[in-house]
Amino acid sequence: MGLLLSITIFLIMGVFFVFIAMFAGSFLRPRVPHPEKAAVYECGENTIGSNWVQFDLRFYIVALVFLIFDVEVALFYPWAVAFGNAVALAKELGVDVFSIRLVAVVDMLFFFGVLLVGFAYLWRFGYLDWVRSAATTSLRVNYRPGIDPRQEARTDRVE
Amino acid sequence: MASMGLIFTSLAAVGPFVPEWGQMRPFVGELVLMGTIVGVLLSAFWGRRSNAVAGVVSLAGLMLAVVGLLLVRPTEGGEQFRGMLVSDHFAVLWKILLLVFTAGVVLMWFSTTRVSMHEGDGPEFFTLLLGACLGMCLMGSTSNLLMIFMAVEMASLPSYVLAGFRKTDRVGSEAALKYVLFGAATSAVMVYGLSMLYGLYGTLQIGELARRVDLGGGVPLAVAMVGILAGVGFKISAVPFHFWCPDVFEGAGVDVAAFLSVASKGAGLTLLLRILMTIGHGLGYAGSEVLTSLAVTVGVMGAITCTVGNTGAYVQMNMKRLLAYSSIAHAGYMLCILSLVVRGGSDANGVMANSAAQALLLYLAVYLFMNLGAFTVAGLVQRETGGERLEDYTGLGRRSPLLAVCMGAFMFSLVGLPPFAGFGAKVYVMWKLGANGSWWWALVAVIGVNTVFSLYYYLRVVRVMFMVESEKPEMVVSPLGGGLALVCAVMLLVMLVAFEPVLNLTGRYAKLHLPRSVPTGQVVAGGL
Repeated sequence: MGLLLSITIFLIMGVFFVFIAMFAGSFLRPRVPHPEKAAVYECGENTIGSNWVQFDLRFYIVALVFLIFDVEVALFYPWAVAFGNAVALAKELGVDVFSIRLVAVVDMLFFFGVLLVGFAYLWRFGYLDWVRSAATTSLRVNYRPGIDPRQEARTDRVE
Repeated sequence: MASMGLIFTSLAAVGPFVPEWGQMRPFVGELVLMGTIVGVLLSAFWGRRSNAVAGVVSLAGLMLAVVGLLLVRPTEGGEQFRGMLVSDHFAVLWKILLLVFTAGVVLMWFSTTRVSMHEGDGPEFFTLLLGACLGMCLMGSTSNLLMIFMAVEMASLPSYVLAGFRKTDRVGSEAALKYVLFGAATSAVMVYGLSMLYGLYGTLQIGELARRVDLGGGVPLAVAMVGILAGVGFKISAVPFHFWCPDVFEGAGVDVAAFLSVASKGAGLTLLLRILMTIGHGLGYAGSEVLTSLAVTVGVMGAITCTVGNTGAYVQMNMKRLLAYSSIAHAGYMLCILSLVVRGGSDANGVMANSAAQALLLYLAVYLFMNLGAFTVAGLVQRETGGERLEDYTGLGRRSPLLAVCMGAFMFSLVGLPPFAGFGAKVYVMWKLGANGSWWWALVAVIGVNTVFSLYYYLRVVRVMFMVESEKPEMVVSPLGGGLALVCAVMLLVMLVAFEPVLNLTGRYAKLHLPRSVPTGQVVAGGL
């Protein structure tokens, strides 16, 4: 109960201090309104066009690949800790240390192996190439997922 | 280090998890499927991403998995992997049906969609298809809250991608988006329900949880069950959650639509059946209010689902949409079957034979061939004429007698008319429901009225094929596609002629392994 109370006080004080700072600031700061100040800030540059644009699918692919390996590392941590404690675990259970470690390694190799096959597939078929062209995909398959590079090149030239 | 000590003691309580072959054996289907998925990806490396190679590899893998499952003695099953998975007769037959059906879908792909698919898309398509199939296998063999969610998501995520697999097709993309949004919403509700159950009873095992239901639950329990029904109902396309079904079937490829129409619904129904029966077993069946209210809910849901499906099918002029509403109606009939779970009993080992399980397996076995066949014909017609509207079926009796006769057989069977197995399955279901008396008679009446209603739109297809003349040229049917449709039609005939053996087979497999009863008060170590 005491913990809940202190968390509540902390939250209330946290919110309170934001308004205190803004309130105090309104007395101290000079007041010079200017239309530029109300404009959208984009790294000091003037904004061009709308920001409701369609993001390139390639960003998502990279994000997905990242996510897969992120999850993999998350799974590796507890595994590594358990692997390191295998001696203590074996003593407690009265089994061979080697058998526990073997099971752990085989399990992880299996998991990692399946993941690697998927990764090799992505790599081999050019999903990781930023600019997909016939040169980077050594395959002579008349197929490119997503955008056709030739079409892309043409639109680049128009702009 | 205190947490490490806790992990060690809990590990010591249940023993270290060292997989043994004996433990893995009942799950040979899933293991082979996993191997096949890797195999399909690897085949792309030396097969130049050939679609056909990927198709052949997945077909071989599915066949191998079926053979492996046939060799498994389901009696050696029970709870495995610390109760995460269950293997029993029921799960084995469901997996066999599912894998045979998926193999049928692959054959159908060869005869229909293969021509229009980009060369190089094949490995990805089959990886997704087999991945969804794997998730559906798991849905049929778990009663652990975590695994339920995992399995449902594993079945759903590849299905979303499959629905939008034709990337340039706007209708398909829209359907896939609708499917994703619907699926995300329902699975969020479901995971909320599951977490509520865990919060109420402190265990992830439904069997263990059901024993604690008497500790009280009230409104939170009801909310949790509604959440689970939402998640599973989405897979089944039960009524408040059926809106994705017609759009996805229309937008997706015909093979994907066929796959979802049987596999997704079957998986949801088997999962729901296992949940209901595990709860029933845990409660001891004795006039439990919880179980009765669940059965009534499922029954009413089924009655509404089949009525909405049939009335929706009336106005459909698109063959795939018509079949989608038809599949909603059949999902409704199968939901009605699930309301039978209240009548059950089990032996000392927790193995339970149940008329609901038998009727569901029987219905699924028949339904599988009806839908596979109907979608195959739809795919062949679409491939030849480029259309999927009812006008494209005019004069099919003259243009392709084989396809027209097969389609007629599927339509008759879907209504439930005599020379085909659909008749047997439906009569058996109605008889079983009627045998229970009391309010189940209402379900029998609803199914009966719905059957009469459904006559109109199924037979409209037959009328268009045989009685409406058209100037369209004769159709060339690929031997594989025609053969597949013919096999399905013949199977429907054979299954009615040999109805007794089919009934006996499903009866033999209609046994579920339910967790052993634990005396109240005793807490299972590592009950997580």
